Amino acid sequence: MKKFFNQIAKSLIFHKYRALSDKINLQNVSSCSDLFFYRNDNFSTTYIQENTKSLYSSNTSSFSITIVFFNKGGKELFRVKHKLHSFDFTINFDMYSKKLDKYGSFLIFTSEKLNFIPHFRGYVGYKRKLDEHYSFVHGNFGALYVSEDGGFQSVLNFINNKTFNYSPQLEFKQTQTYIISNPFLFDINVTFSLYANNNLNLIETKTIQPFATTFFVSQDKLLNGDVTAVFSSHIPALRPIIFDEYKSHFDVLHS
Amino acid sequence: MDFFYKFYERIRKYFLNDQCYFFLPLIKQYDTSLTLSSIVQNSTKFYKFKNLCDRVWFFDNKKNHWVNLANLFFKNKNVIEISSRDFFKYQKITNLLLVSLDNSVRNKYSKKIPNSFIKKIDFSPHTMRGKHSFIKNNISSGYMGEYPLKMTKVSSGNVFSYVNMFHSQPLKSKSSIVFINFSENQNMEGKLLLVDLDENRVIFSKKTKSNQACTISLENKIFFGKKIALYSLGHIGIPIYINEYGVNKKQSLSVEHSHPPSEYFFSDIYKHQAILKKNWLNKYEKIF
Repeated sequence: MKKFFNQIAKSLIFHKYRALSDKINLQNVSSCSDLFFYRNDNFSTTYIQENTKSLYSSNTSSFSITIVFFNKGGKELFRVKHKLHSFDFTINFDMYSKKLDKYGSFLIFTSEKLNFIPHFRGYVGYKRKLDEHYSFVHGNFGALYVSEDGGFQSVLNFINNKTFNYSPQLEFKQTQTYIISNPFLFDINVTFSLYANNNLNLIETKTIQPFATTFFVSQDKLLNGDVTAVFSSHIPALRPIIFDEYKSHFDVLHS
Repeated sequence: MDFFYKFYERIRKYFLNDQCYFFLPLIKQYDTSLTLSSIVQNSTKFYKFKNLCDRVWFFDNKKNHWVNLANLFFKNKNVIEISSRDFFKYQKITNLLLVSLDNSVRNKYSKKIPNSFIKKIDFSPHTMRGKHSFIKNNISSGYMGEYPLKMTKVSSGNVFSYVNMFHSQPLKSKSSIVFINFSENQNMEGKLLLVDLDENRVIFSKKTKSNQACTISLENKIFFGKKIALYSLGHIGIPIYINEYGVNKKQSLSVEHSHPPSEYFFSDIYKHQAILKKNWLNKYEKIF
């Protein structure tokens, strides 16, 4: 009974905000992927793919994955296939560095239909090219699936025309780069502002095309100290990935 | 408006139960810090709370209640960073502090796990998060996260987590797992195990207690080329994976949590989560 009321309350409360609560009809879907972000500039990227089906059953099984790479403008570059035989599989993107853009996004689809496990999870690791040590995030930007006609479709059915303000819960620093890839099939406009001294200071507005990746930075030395970044867009909870870079080290986290 | 929001708060607390906490481990291996903001994370209006405070608590095992150690008011600040160094003297009593957000200082002690204010002004999808950082030699790495109230209500349970984040890290690095547990069931004991899945053997075992952190630190070569899983028997919680690398002047840290098993599934989440755990527990229960 409580479950029933719970579902009614959720549908009433969230019906205007469906973009994050809507689920696709899984019967028609082959597999889903997060839109991940790679770097191929002064950073290397590695990706750990979990075999969620094997982890579920506790027995190893093999299946193939297809990785689709995009350049920073959102244009598809190439696809590669790999076979998985274990509970996980690590792919170092250095082997594709000549074909990849300086940075961009990628999708990973599995070969089989998995009903209640359409989403094989993964972790992305970044390291500076001359270093040995990776910093990992489980980051993602929404999710996409391959439709019956072979095209990509967004899991999030965007129906909202409200503007949402997303504020990463940490202090903004000039050493930070905020990165957003667009997991939707339409352009999104993102306004980057910095909140300091009780004022919202507009830094820039950018249009991000589907699958494209954009960096947001600010070198304004006056906006320093107790400052918070704010991203305004029509997407609820547009969570950037944050790189915090120093001479000696860096950190990466999913906001 | 105030009436509607309070009404909504009551409904949401009952049905959605999305209160959460934050944590500050007091462990020997690393300094830790927690960054919280007074600004609403996601909403249709930009909004900053002015009367918020971070309330720092620990669980007193002897007296069986939560004790409020400090209250840090945001006043006009956007962000507050709490450091484990400020609570160093409490390391003898506890290794895990709970941090809740509140809009007033109500009580010094609490028999139940303390209340937490939900920083929300409208119905926008929202999970409160804080930046949990681990620090060594002035190098810091962190992740955005929280400890959901729902998890504290599970009196006992098990965790299975496949350890794969250390595989790509250098052989000479050091890996640690910090397991965070908060529970309303205050005097539970459990076990944290690292299991070599190929060789069917426990490679590390440590006792866990409710409302305490449990830390495992090992050379990374132990994980190299191996299928290793983390089991928590008796307690549910959040495992945090830390890898530390330091050769000459090159030092770095990597901190991340694993995907909660609930994120693996799109439907019947609790049913499938239970099947996943059962499969793994049944397979190795003889060696636990």
